[in-house]
Amino acid sequence: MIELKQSTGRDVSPLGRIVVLIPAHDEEQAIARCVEHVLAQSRVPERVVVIAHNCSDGTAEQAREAGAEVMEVEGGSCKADALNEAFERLDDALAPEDVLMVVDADSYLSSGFVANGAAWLEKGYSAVGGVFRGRDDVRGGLVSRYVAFCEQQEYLRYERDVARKGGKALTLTGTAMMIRVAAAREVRDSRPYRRLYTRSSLVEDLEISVRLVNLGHRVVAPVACSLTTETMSGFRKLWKQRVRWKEGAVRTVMQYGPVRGTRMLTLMLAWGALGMLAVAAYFATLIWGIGTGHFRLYPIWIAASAIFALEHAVTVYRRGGPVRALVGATLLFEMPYELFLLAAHAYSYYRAMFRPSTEW
Amino acid sequence: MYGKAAGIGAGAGGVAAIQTLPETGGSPLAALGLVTDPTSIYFWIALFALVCVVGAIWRILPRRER
Repeated sequence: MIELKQSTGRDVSPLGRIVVLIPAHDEEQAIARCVEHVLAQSRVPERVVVIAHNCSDGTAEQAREAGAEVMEVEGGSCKADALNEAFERLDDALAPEDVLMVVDADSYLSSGFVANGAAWLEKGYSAVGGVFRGRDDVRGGLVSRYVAFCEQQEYLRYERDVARKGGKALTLTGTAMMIRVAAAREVRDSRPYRRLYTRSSLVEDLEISVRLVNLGHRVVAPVACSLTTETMSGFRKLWKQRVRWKEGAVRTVMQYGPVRGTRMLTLMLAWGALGMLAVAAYFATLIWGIGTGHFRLYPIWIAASAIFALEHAVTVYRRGGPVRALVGATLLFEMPYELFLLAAHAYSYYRAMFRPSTEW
Repeated sequence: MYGKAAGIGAGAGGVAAIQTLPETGGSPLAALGLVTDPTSIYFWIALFALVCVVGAIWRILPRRER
């Protein structure tokens, strides 16, 4: 169990400079637009640094042309390595009241992201994460479009959930987050190897969120800090992404134990595991019912299913419009996607429990 | 993202599972009757499904967004 010394209190001091770090590995296609969205903020950050990490394409040139500084980093194999190296190089030039902002190269910020995030930081929050939507730029066949559509539905519901909880989220997304330099240093110094990000986690954004909360910091994901990010272009990529997310979450919980920052996550993971059992029971009883001739439909349970249909429609209506709501109401359209996610989750639990730890 | 949407989907599955069970006779009272027998797997499926129904209703109800 990891129980860290609690931070001394909320930092409501005025913010200093905002320094944006954009880790990029061969992102020449996306990097310019990402930088443009950062520079188009209503509150423009003082520095925008693209970390060209082991790049073999034109990422660095594209980033410079778009108006960013470029820091070339060789070596290391993951995003955490690139960010740790950049933080170490910049550290001497940063003041405690400055803000470090990390943005994924394939993510585009809404124009008010930085201003809204800064306002939350000045209220005493140590870190602010974004709330993302899936971008509608998937090229490909029907399967790719189906996956992208369902993922967008899922993100719309997530955004609604976060908004209804006033920005309370279990993790600060790695797609875009802001953190006070003082808090970042505290996280770094709390680790035996003195690095901001751990490379032993598959989900470095979740891990740093847990660590911040465990240290006594407050974090928030306000819906005004919105951005768009890429959606997966097929089931293979979706599987890889979700296994990494879920396996990483389970391993983080196992690593930290039931401490501040992981308790709600543990409950959510347990709930997800129950869901998998319920679905397995559903298919077993369905086959058994049909096989033995006991299957029939009962109005009362059809009514219960109608509640789920309504839930699937209502949760996307405001943000996604009537077509998305109607599609959601069918339940059946999204069911293959949801079952696929459950299968990925089941495999993630298996990996986390029975396979040796892996690095991202 | 860590299971809520999937949980709702699973809840729908759980409801459908109860629907197919001859032991419940399709009656909510009969299904609730299973609550008295926690050694039955049907009890747990029913309980999970009902909790998910409540969760779905909560998600449908309007709430202030911030």
